[in-house]
Amino acid sequence: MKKFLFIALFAASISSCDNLTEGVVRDIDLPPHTPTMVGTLLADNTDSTLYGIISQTRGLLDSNVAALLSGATVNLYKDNVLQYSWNTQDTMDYYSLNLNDTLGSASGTYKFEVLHPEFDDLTATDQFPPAAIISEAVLNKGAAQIFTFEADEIILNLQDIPGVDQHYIFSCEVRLTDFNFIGDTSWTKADLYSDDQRTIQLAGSSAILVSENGIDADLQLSFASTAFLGAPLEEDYEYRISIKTLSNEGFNYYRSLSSYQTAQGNPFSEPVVIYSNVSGGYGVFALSRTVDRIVR
Amino acid sequence: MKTRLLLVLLAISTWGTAQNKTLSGYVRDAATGEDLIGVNIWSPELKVGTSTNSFGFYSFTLPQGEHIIQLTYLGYENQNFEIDLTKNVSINFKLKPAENVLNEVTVTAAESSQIQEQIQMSKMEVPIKQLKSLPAILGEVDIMKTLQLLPGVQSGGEGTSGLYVRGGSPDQNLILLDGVPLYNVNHLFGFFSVFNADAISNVSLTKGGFPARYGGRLSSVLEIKMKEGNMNEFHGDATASIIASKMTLEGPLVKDKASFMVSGRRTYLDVLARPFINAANSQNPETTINPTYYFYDMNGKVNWKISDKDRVYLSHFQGKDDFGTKGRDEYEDYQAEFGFGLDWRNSITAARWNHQWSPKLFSNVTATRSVYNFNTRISQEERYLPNYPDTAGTEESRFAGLYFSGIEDYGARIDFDFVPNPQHYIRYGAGWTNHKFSPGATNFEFQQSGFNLDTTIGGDEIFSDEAFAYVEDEWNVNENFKIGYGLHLNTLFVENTTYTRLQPRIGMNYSLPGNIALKASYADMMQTVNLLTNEGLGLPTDLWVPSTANLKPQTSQQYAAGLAKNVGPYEFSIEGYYKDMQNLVSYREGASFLFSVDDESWEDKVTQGQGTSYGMEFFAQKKAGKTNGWIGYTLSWSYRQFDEINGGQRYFFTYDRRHDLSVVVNHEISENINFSAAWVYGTGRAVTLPEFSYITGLPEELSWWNYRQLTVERATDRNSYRYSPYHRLDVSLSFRKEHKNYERWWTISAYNAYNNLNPFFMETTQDRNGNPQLREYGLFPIIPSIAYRIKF
Repeated sequence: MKKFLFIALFAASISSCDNLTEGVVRDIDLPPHTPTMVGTLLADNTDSTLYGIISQTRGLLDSNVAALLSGATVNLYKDNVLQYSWNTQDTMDYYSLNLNDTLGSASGTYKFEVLHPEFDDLTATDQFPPAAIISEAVLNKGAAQIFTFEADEIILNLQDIPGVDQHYIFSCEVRLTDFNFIGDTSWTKADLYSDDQRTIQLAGSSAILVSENGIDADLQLSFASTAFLGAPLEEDYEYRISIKTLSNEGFNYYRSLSSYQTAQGNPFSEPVVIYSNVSGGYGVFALSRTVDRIVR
Repeated sequence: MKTRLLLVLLAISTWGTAQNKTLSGYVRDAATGEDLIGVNIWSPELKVGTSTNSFGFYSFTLPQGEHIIQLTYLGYENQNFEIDLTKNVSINFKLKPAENVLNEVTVTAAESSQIQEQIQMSKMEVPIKQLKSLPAILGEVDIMKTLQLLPGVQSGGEGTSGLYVRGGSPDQNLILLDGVPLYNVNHLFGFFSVFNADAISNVSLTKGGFPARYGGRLSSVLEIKMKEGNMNEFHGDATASIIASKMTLEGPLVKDKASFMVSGRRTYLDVLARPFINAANSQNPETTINPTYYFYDMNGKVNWKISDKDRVYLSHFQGKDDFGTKGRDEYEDYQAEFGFGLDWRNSITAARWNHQWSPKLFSNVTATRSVYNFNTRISQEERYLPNYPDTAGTEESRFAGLYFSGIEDYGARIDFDFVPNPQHYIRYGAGWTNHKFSPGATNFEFQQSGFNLDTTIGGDEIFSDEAFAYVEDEWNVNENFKIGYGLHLNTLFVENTTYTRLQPRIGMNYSLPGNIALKASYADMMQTVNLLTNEGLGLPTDLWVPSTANLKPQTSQQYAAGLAKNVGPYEFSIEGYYKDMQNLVSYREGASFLFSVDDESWEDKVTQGQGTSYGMEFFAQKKAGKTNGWIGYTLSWSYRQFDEINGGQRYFFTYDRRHDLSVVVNHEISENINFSAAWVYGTGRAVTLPEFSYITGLPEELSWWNYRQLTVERATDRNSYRYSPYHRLDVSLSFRKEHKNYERWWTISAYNAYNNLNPFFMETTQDRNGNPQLREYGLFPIIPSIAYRIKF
């Protein structure tokens, strides 16, 4: 009995060593993926064109890549009254609609709706957040540092709106204010940095995301920027700070998207589920208000 | 009010004083002199009783006169003792181990010890003798693996570590080794625990209805007591298996007064694997890879009976795991060396003093120290030789990264047992712990062409102090109704912030007709230490962090109710529970703990939320007889909800396991041959799988490339996908032979006997045609082993 067991043990040892060498794997058959429609509309009060990005989901094991969807109709309601309806796609296959004026930020509940004969309807609602109230905006040239490089400091004070959880995206552009031999006085994107722990650098962007996180208090932030990709020039220049106030839906979306992009390629990152507030499918509908301030 | 309270206490303590006398003392193992915990001491005539505490002490107050005292304890011969009680008297009992440990006659529980008589519910005790008869994995019987076979207790799965008790996470288990908290209890990535069964005398796990003397964790209390050492004779126990060897020595320092126990274990995987690694490397001499791994642990204990009323103990444990891999590339024009490693270590020390103040009052004072550290290291050196293309002369670069973290505790506590009469067993005490956390620092070094960088990010130590006090009573109200109630008060001082919580605890037992016990309990708990876990990895890189001014302590409320009954050697229980948890801590989405170059501290990477778990546990056990074992089944749900995770929507906890079934059988084929088997089945672990992709977008002004659309991958929800179910059979066959001066065993075992692939991780890959494919990887196939054990 014992001898038999020892022989069996030896044989099993050999077979298991093979397994250890080759690895132990199982290929999983997932059920076929049922595509779902995805709709994204990020609209700002200053927009003169609305861009709807309509696509359909592709399964993990689908050999085709994700693609934009044709044949949809996009509707935008305010307080259940249809404001805009469009189904035209531009050269990039976005559902774009040129408005006669800017969208504005009239109060009310806006509903985003996407219809398509092959998919369930998508709907989502949002409201415009209150605009940022800038109590102070100051530029101190050369007063900051980015890594070891001299940079400009931009200080912003934003007034709190009691009872409202305020979220912002800060971005900036810079331009020369005097004609000179470079000859270009158009606005150019500039980097923004902040070591304030409340800020999130938006991945793939030069903008910064901030939330007051439910704390009702005025917000003072300090940013650094390096104007024209290097040390500040001796020529005169000015910054245009854009302060985009986000709704809760918008903030959740931008935060999850930034986390997702930051996590790409890092096996130690926590998984990210991109925020979606759309019923009937996936995507996001979020409204924002932008206020610009020039500092010089 | 105060006067009334004093009068009540006086009434309790002077219950028929003029008529009553107290019998007190210790109950010990007749062969070894070890304290016996939980021995039932019963008066069959008066139908009252008591039991020994954690140090073998008992106090039994009875009316003056003649009594028969019955002592019963699993694995030992029952003892009846006649006494004419005319005064307070101290008697120490010695119980003889039953010749046939699991003989049905000897271990059939006396009325007093049956599960339906006990107030405490949700508690499981695993006798060490029974534990050692279970399947030995790679020759090692493991306490944690055994606990995972009990209902309500889950493992994390292959390659993961920790106990998941009633939907809680591993940090929510208070694991005490001789009263000292241990922070990491795993060797070999969770395959073994740090507990050497040969050095352990008692194991008990409480999952709910926590008595007030326990605090600091939400989900369970695991108490493990080291052996004290044989007071009478020298003995040894040594085992050699294919993966590790261990030895235990114990004996008297002064016979019947002082004893010692020392036990050590080390694996030699690194030695065994060396020939195979060398053989593999010889096939590709330009690139060599040398993985190494070893672990060791050591337990030591000394105890000394200073007098009949005083005893002191000193115990120490330390252990370490070290995993690393080094590689080398060697070409004519290029050389490189690279390395990666993980090491983690525990060390605990406890000193305690027992004193018997009176026949009714016993105290224990403990001073403790517990340290846990882990390090993750990575390094690379490159050398481009002059003949490398586009190189002017030899160029060298060196990079090294080290991530280190740890926790160090110093604590002290005093506990009193006051047994005024058989109707009441009162415990009270207080304690204090100073914590020092080093919650993760990353050091980078880089050198190239005269450029040197040496910087450390993070690493600020955090100190906190925790104080507690408690009082509890077990009250036998009448023959049918018993109640245990108490209060635990916990205060945390950290970063100029104070958190205080009063935690009520209550448990009750009501006897229904048919000798069935209806039990119910409620426990409020608070926890001030947190374990940050990368849920996808489950490596020992998990980080212990404190509650701080910004991070509130975790809290929970657990309700439980159930029925219990003994029928001969069979024990049945069915129990339902509901647990609410608040201020749970988790990494934010996208956060990375390891080698993160951003300037965020760990506190900026975490968020707090809540959890809910509920379920039903069924347990049927046959404790005695040639064939014994148990069946445990759990049906449960466990959820989490964090505002900043999964869009604020509730999602399944990673270790939500709908069904969990364990079947354990131990059969004595003959006096010298024993067979055991354990089969487990569990619903697959939840995982966040990017199930589909789609195109979304950003406003153009926020995109670097002025490009609006973005393709992303997404899961339906966090943890919405399940790995394949987990099931595994372990079997073990042992052959015993008794020689003149020693006993020996040959044990043959197989882990995962039918070679089922239990998933460890998954990834998307491509088949031969380039089509995407989802693949699960396992970790452990069938692993047979053989072990030789000798006991002298």
